[in-house]
Amino acid sequence: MRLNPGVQLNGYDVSAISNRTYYKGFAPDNLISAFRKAGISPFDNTKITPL
Amino acid sequence: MDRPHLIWNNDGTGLMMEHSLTKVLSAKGEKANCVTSARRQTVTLIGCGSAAGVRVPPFYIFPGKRWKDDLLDGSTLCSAGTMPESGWSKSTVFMDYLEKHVLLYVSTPHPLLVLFDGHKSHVNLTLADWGRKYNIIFFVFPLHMLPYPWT
Repeated sequence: MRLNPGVQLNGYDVSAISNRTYYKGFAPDNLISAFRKAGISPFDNTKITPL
Repeated sequence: MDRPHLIWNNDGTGLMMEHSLTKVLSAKGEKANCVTSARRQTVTLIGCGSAAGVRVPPFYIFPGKRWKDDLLDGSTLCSAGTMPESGWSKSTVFMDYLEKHVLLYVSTPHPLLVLFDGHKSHVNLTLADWGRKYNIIFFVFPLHMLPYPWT
């Protein structure tokens, strides 16, 4: 986007742009640590504390 | 609980085609270059990943009437998309997505636990019944309680 100022995006560009970001965000690393942080897998019932 | 490959989380996000108008610096008398498209279009991207670190290719929901394969140009070959006809409810799209996309990549004789957040209103009784047929258990998170990276 920075290299092409003023260029309009349309629906045909979205998938190409978001694709790389998607796989970056959904890296196996991220997925595993997110589930761990939430205490879902491995299960950890001490993660939920009363307010 | 000891089967992380059976636990999946699911969430969608809206991708706006145009940025919001901001201030533009330009020489006096020049026309300021700040382009936004006239029509507001939002493409929804649904992502799904398992606790074992496996993810399903992206799935796009485009606004519009006529589907064209060009829409997915530049994306991974296995990504998919749909254009819901008007009158389709969110849960119909969601079921369509699970059936035609997610289940292509996840096949197991064991029941699947699918987590997702509830505020997108794709939750209803049909979904629960439908899930039973496909051996899927749904768990809906309370509003905005998804952990990173699904916040």
